[in-house]
Amino acid sequence: MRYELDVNGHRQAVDAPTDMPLLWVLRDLLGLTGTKYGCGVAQCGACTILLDGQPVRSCQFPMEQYAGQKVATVEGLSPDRSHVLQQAWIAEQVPQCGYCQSGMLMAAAALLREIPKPTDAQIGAAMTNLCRCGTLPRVRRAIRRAAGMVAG
Amino acid sequence: MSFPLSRRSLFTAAGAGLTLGLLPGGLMAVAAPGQGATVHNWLHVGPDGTITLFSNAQEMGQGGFSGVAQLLANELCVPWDRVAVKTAPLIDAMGMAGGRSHWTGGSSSIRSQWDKLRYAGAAAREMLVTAGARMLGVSVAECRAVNGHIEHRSDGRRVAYGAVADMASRLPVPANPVPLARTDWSLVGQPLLRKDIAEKVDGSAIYATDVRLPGLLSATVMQCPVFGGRLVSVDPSPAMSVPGVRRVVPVMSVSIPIPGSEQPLIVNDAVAVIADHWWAARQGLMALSPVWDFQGKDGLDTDGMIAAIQARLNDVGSIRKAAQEDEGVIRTRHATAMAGAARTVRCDYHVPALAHAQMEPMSAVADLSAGKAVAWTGSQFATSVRHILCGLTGLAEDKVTVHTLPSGGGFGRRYLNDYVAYACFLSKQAGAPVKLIYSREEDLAQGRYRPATACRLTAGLDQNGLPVAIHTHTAPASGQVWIAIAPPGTEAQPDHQPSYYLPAPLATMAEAGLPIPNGPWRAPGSTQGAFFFECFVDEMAQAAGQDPVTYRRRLLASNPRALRVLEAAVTASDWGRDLPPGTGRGIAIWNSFQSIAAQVVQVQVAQNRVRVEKVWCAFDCGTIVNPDSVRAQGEGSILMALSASLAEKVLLESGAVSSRNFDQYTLLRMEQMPVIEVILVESPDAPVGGAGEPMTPPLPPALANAIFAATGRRLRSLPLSDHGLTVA
Ligand code: FES
Ligand code: FES
Repeated sequence: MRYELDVNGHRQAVDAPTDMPLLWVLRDLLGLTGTKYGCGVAQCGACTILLDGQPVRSCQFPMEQYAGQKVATVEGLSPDRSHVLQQAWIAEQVPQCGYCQSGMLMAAAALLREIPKPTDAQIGAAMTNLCRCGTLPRVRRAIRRAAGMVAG
Repeated sequence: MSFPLSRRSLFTAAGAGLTLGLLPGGLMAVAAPGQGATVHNWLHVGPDGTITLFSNAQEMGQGGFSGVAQLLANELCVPWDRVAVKTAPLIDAMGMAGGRSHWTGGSSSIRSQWDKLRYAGAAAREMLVTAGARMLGVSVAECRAVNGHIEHRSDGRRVAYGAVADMASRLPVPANPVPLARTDWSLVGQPLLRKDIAEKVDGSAIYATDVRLPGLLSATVMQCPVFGGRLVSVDPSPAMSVPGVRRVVPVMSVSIPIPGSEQPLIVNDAVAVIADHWWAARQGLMALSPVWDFQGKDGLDTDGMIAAIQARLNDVGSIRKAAQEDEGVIRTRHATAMAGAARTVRCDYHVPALAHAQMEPMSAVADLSAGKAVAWTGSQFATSVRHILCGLTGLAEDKVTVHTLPSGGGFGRRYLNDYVAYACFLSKQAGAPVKLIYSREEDLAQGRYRPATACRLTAGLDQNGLPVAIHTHTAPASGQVWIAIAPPGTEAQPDHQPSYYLPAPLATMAEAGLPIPNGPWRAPGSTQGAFFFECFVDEMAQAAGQDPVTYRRRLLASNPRALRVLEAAVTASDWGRDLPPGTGRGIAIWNSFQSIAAQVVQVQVAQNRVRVEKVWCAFDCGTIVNPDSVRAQGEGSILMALSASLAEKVLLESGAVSSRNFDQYTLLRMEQMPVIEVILVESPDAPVGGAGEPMTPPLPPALANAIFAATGRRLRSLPLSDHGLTVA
């Protein structure tokens, strides 16, 4: 099937099987490999993107559900790592292996859009992504930094 | 491409400037081919002042890639922001430590290369200073290296490294370069920004799963779910009707000859599907119904596995001893001391099999089409990747190419190259470049697991409750797990073992030999050993009627370095302060990778709900290169060990793993996370220790000891979920 998508502000046309999850459309058909496959069953969050501003685990839903919507991936956060979250992520030296971090950043972006100054409990409730390297303390610190809640 | 050993072509490759390598036992510039020189590490100073350091540590999150460069840059006296770091070429000369092989693991990138990197940097610095002195028209003694420049000590005139790099490259390499005195270090000990972080915040870091090539096909694989089973047949047609599927490849009785080894690499029987993209490959594979012959190995389940290792607790087992020691003497000494004990304490423990569950499933890209032999992997063992390419193609080592990429987590799993073998085999079969990605289900079902292990510990105590003899008996499902205690008078620090020197130790092991593949899992052996032994120390303390810290202080009286680490954790946590009801603290200490870690865990328990409130971790790795990286490894190690302790357990049903995704193999989430405080202790005169693993082992026993303190319940097995405890 041929679909129209808005990815990071660019209109794209793509030929994809109707049951193909958006994750694989992004990675294998559009070459946007920043979004990662971790589990395929909505458990890990590595594939998190924003769909019309809402965080979505892109491994989950088939392509046909996404047609015509606005998709934002980690590549679209900024052209030069200048997004406040990316800056906070570098300042706190958050990533270890880095594989989960695209999903972390997108989940964090959705959280701050919803709650500009989240409490730790709100951060914990929103950030259900898995990180095997154990960067979660720094993820939380970086979100607080990006929200202007700790000295930079 | 593999780097040619010719100095001239290196200059062509890297631009003019100074390029240097290190020989064991001395230094020299890069030798021409055929001279048999072993060049050990590289750096390049360009005429424009750019500095490129080549790191031979594969980056899997631990920070070693950048850490190796930080150590080199310190010795070179260059500003960190001017340094670029690249992956070292796969040449013998740049193998890990003193060897020719390229691998990353054992928390060894820094500790095993400490001298090599410092001498290489010092030699280059001395050559640059000599050249700079000539340019300034002064003697070498009047100059020093500062921040990428050669500076006249008294008049302050400077020349940049780049300006003299060419001249320096023509100088003889100093025979005895002198590394900087500790007081002159500018970069070691600083929390510098890691070189690999920025590309991980915008999706631009390329892992094996992300490699793109013209004509690249995607593949996925299903091995026989029962370990050791064989493929009988598979009907490809259901997969072939999935749009995008190119072919179904049965993998039957494949073995790959490994150059220089008698043993070929045996590839497990499997079915693979190759397609235009991964989703089609996955859909195609799921449509298949392969016929397997389980070879009668489909009887084992989780409880059977635990029962099998527990049964081995009654075996005599084999003894751990040095070659010159006599088994009879050791056993007699132990039995005699035990017979004289005022009382004995005995406890049985067990822990489950664990999966690595690194976030990037096993993945590799290979191109064996049209006479090519190229692989892109995040393997921890690049030399073995090369062997696989050579074995499958018959090509010589210098005709195959290995690209080492960052990986989405290793923890020991990527030391085993099963997935690389499939990628290479499939590319050869398809005659096209192939990217293989295991599904998460395949990744968790075909792990190289931390073996489930049982343990029986027996101590004889004197009237004061102190041990006079200890017997450790371990029973891993497969592989080797020992607890070998150092007796008093041992000169070396204990390593991968309890921190104490204890009398009349006896270490035995009885491996159950279950057909479950095992492999190194962050701090191999130590995550089991520390849980058993440090829980047992608390039982001995209780038998002696003493506080766990007081008791450990007495056991550590003859190990002042470890005692200092224990005290750092005790002080930071203010051990002994009054705690609210339902709250308890536990402590544990362990030596591994030439480092020492002591942890205090504080928990609150109410109605079987455990809240892990805080973890204090005191850590001594001798000398610290990057304190922020070490703290990050502390946080990561603690959370991985905590996650494992809460609910991780590989489940087996009918000989196959049934915990095949994160809904059944559950990892720690942010809401369950404690506050973590890492306290860094330095021992400048001690050998440099590792940092990526040694903060893992103390957590599980400190946690179990804390739960005892809070509830009076002794947990002699993990995970907590087996005891009806949930963690909020
Ligand atoms: S890959 Fe989508 S949640 Fe894990
Ligand atoms: S940084 Fe490695 S999984 Fe999160």
